[in-house]
Amino acid sequence: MIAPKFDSILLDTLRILGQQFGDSPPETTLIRDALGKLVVTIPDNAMSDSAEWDALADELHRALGIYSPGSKRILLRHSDLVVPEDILDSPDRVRFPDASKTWLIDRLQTNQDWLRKPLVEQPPLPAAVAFSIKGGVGRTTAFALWAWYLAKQSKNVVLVDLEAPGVAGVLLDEDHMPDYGLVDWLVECLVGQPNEALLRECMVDCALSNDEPGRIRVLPAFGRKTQDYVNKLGRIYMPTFRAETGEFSGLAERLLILLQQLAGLFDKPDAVLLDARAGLHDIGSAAVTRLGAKVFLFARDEYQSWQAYKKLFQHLRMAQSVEWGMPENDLRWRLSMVAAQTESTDAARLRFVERSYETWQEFYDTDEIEEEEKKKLGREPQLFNPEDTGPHQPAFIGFDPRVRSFDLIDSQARPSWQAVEQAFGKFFPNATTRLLQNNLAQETI
Amino acid sequence: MNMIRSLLQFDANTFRQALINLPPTQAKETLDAPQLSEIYVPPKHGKALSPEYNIVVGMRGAGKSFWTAVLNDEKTHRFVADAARVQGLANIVVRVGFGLDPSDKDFPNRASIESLLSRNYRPDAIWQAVLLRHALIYLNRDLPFNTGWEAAVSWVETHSGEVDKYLAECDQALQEQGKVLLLFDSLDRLADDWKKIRGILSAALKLCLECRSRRAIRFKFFLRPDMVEENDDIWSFADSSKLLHAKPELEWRPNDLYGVIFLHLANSVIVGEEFRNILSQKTSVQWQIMDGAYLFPRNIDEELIRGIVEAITGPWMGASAKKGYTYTWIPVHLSDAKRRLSPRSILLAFKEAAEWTDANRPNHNLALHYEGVQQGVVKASEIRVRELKEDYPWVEPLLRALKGSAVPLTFDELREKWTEACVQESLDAASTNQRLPPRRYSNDPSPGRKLDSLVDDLVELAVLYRTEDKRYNMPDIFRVGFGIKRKGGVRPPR
Repeated sequence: MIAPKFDSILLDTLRILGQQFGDSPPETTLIRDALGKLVVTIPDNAMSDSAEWDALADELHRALGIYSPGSKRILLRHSDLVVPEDILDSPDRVRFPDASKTWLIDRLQTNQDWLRKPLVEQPPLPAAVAFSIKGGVGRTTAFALWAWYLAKQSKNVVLVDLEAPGVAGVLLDEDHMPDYGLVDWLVECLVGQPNEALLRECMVDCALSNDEPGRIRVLPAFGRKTQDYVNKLGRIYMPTFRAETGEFSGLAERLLILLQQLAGLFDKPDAVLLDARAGLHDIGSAAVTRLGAKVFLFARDEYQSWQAYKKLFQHLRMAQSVEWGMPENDLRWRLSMVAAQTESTDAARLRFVERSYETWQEFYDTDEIEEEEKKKLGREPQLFNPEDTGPHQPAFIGFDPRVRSFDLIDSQARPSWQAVEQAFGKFFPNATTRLLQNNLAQETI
Repeated sequence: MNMIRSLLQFDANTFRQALINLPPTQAKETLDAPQLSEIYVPPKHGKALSPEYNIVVGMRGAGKSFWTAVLNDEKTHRFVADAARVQGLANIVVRVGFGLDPSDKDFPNRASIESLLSRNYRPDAIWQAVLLRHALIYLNRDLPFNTGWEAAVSWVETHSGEVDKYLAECDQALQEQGKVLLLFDSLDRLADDWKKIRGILSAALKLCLECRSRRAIRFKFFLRPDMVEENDDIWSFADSSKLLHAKPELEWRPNDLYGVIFLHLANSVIVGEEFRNILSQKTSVQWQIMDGAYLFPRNIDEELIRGIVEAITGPWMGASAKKGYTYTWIPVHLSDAKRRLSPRSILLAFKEAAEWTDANRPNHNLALHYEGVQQGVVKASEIRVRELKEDYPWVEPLLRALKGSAVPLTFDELREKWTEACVQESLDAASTNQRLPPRRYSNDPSPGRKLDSLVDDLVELAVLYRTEDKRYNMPDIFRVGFGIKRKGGVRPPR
């Protein structure tokens, strides 16, 4: 017999359960631990005969090999669970798409947030997140310049660096950094003392808005007096248990507290822009899926980038806030692509739209449903054409080699607003509409 | 919100009634001139109508027959010359060289042509006879041949010198007064196989080319897109490129579609006055009337068009902007894979939307409810599918075989569905309905012809398009009508 591998475990388990229960399985929850070992839990009344329980457990144990936690532990009744609610009401319990009445809880070391429900439907104040799979796509520059645009529109914005170096590096020179930064605030938050006074010391006004009617403040990852930066960084993702609420809280919960504290300031900003850094990790998952923010997914038209987005979307399909039919509060309405550094030709734009649509198809509703099933569900899939105004429809940022050399710190060397507008086209007004209005769809461009 | 939208308020009920009264939307099968108030001339169609352009390309519903009828009638083509300022249209004398009229009078009908060809008359002689006959009638000369096309064609074949003389004389006379323009419409119905059509069409085109050296005799061909492929044998005659290099296309942009609707509203007996007054009071629009018809205003810009559309339908395709913006959503969902649009689709969609709203949301505060718009677009798709089946019957068996599958599909998936029997059924459908079979596939010389060619034919027809990842997708306008599904990753819970 070939040793079972990670990839085959779930399918083998479902096959065996299918043989046992046929088309009408009991409500089944699969729990996969950090190593990939699997536990199957079903209601106590799923089978009456205890010999039957043992036989099924044995079969699963044999099939799963090293991925079985042992023949006595692989198949559990609900009454075997110490606190059944921890499993059955877990924020990480998601529908398993390929089987009926089956849920999966995946215990991960990182990236646990992607599938969880957002903590709030609306953030305490308008919030935008810049995310990208790869770095170097101009994400940080775009958000820094967007803040400038907003300041021109008399808006008061805070730019938050979720990891250094980010917007702070583009907007602040060394002498004008604040004393502290986000990591300092986060480690205080870790022990349950989110500190508004400290938050003020983490933010500084940016000279870019000096001549504008609005205001830009920057909250960098660390400040001039920040000590032990790396040590702090190693702590901020840690889930902590809050005895007073009886709940675990992680980076996402703490970032929400940050937004709440910003919203409570007497000089509260009109909007917060969060630069979430590149790649699939906890900062991304917390900011993209859990804050209720509008998310801008930056991508260049590159094969690797689309492949990675495809992987992310395949994962997000199982998210608790993603539902066939795409209801009002579906996660997908919050997301929208940004075509970064794209040549301003029709061909390049069309190609981007087409690629983006292909990638999003993994994450859009399927129409491969029988009409009767639709009738039973009483719903229709939310379908999009490539030309439609769905999340795949990007806002375009032109490729302009001058952008790389834009100096936003030295007021003498600052690019003219006209040069900025030339490169960024309609990105700023479009993004602003998305950020400030409740209408989540985007104009076709 | 669109600034103009906030200024415009139309009475929901009367505007709804006016939209229910949109003109009937059947395909034009006769040469009867349309009402002046129904003639909307998209800016790009001026060239297509000008006598100096010989080849005009248009898909089904783009207006080939409509413009033939407009040109054929003196009142309407003068109107277009004035209203749309198309040069050279004011002084034309129009005769039809081939059309849907089966009377056999002004031109031989399809059966006559086939019978002439079967008796070995030369195709070029047939067209010369048609031209000559029109020329002589124009000159008020007695015809030197008996009635009936065989007599005419046989005379032409044996009197080539005299043919030339008469045509030169006619050219001269015309020059002093005006021009003759020969129109050939519905040329796809000349024959039902590509080989036959090539011979007869090439002959007509050659004659057209020869006549370019004359001053006052011009031809205009309204052709289907699959007839103007440069590599086709139709065009393998000397200097054919002279005809092909300037071939205006009857193209409808989204704003032209809305223009058709606005023109109707401006001339409506129910709301015309109200519509015109509101626009002239609240916007910069100024109305011009010509021969009793209000013209489409020249200075109308995109923002204004959008404002008017939104005042009729509301800005969104749902309760919020999530489901899309009506102004962009409608054209997207009415277009084929080459983003081509047909005015008939919008007329139908708006008419249906008005009827739906009237029946289901009579108290809605706008003329059209977005659900009605959705229904209207579905209805328009059904008609587009029906037209496709009529003109290209071979498409139907192929798309029927895809029912229940989900696009995008790979080539291998298509091949699996399109079995030998299915392809045969497709070819049979063309011949039973006396229509042309798929062009590339029929021309493919390879034994057991290649499916690639058939797929290319569908791509050329804008029923399918290739995606960046080399699969095949289908625009909604065809997909929905054929019950083909759309792939996606998110499923309902089981």
